Amino acid sequence: MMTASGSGLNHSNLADPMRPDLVRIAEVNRETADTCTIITESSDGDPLPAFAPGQFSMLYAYGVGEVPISISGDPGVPNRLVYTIRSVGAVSQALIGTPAGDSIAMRGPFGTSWPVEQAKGQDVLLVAGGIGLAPLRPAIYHIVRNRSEYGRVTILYGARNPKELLFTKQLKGWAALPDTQILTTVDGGGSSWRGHVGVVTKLFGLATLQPERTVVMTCGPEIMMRFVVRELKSRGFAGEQIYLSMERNMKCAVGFCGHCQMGPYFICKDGPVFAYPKMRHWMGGLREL
Amino acid sequence: MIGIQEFNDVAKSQELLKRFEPQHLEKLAGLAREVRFTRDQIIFREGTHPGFFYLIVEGSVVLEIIATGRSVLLQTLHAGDAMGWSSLVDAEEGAHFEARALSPSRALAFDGAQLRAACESDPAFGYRMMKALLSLVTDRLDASRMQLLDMYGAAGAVRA
Repeated sequence: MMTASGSGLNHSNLADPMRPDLVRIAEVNRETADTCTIITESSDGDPLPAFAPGQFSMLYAYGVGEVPISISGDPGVPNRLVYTIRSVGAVSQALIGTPAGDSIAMRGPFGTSWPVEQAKGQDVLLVAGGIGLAPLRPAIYHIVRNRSEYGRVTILYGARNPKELLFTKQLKGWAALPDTQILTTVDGGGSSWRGHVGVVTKLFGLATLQPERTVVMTCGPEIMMRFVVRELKSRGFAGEQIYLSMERNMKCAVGFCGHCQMGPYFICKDGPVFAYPKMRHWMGGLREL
Repeated sequence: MIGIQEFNDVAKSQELLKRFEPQHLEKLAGLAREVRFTRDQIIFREGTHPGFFYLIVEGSVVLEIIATGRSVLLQTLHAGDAMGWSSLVDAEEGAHFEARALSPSRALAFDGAQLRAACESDPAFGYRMMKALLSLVTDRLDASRMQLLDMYGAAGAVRA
């Protein structure tokens, strides 16, 4: 079983976690103006490693650099690793600019995973903001694939504006599943937008939630997750029910270099998915050094 | 005016009224009247005197502001939300935003002048009303600050 508290399919499964493997880019799909999804396949016929929802890989663009990118694909589809990448710097820009057919280098998958096993038999609430929907998508795929094993599923998703909402067609498809509620909101919309406007926490009042039987998974900007936790607590959720995915500037991905240290934890090795009580003292108010 | 029983039923879904005493709810019920809005109906315009404070019972309403000739959507409100609070505290300046029904909507409307008079004549009721209003404004301010942070923007991302 792979859990947020265990190590799951992490570097200990790999022969040499520092050695990258070549992967071939099979497809590049544009999602928004600055975000693309790339589908990678084995470049030599060897199977690609399996992954658990919530894990990440280190992707290397030749001559530019290496960055951690969460896996956004379906964990039930073998030999294919999918990444949704937002261009926020030189490396991410180079990765999404690599054309289909070319290769990049990949290490991993690394890190802890969403508690999809513990959530079985319970309701699941997923709260995402911006590109944060990408690391949650593998958990959604898993839940949808095993739908009968979960109770009510609620997805609350906030983005900057309607054009920056990710995976809109998929969200529409998932919303049609039984006992599934998906609500999206944007920080600002033009006059033609008829959906919700406002912060993602405002969606809680529109959702049907049973705090006593719900596991929460949230991913997005840290400030958003702090407000989400505050809202959840005001609605009777216990900290132990809440799991979040943290983001820091990871380098080695195996807990050696210390770049992503947060209090006693290395985000790359002990995370990125944490139960909230572990992060309680380290979220908010801390400035990055 | 609507009956106290009907008002109490509606009040259960109104966040603003959660901590109101029965006698305060009764006072509010005496001032309430039901109003309905059609899709895209402008409920009040920026700068005009809304005159009314509303509790939304059904449907959704968007608060918007006209900037450089176009409408910018600020926040959507739903059943259980309140709007038109400036009618209670700022009778001179008028509404700060425009409110438009996104869908056919139903609300309870309270005449701002009558509500202000009720607050003045019954300080306990007035204090409860102002506390509720402050809570509402705090909530809106928190939401506005989060929107101002532009937290989903590239500036909030780990750059790599």
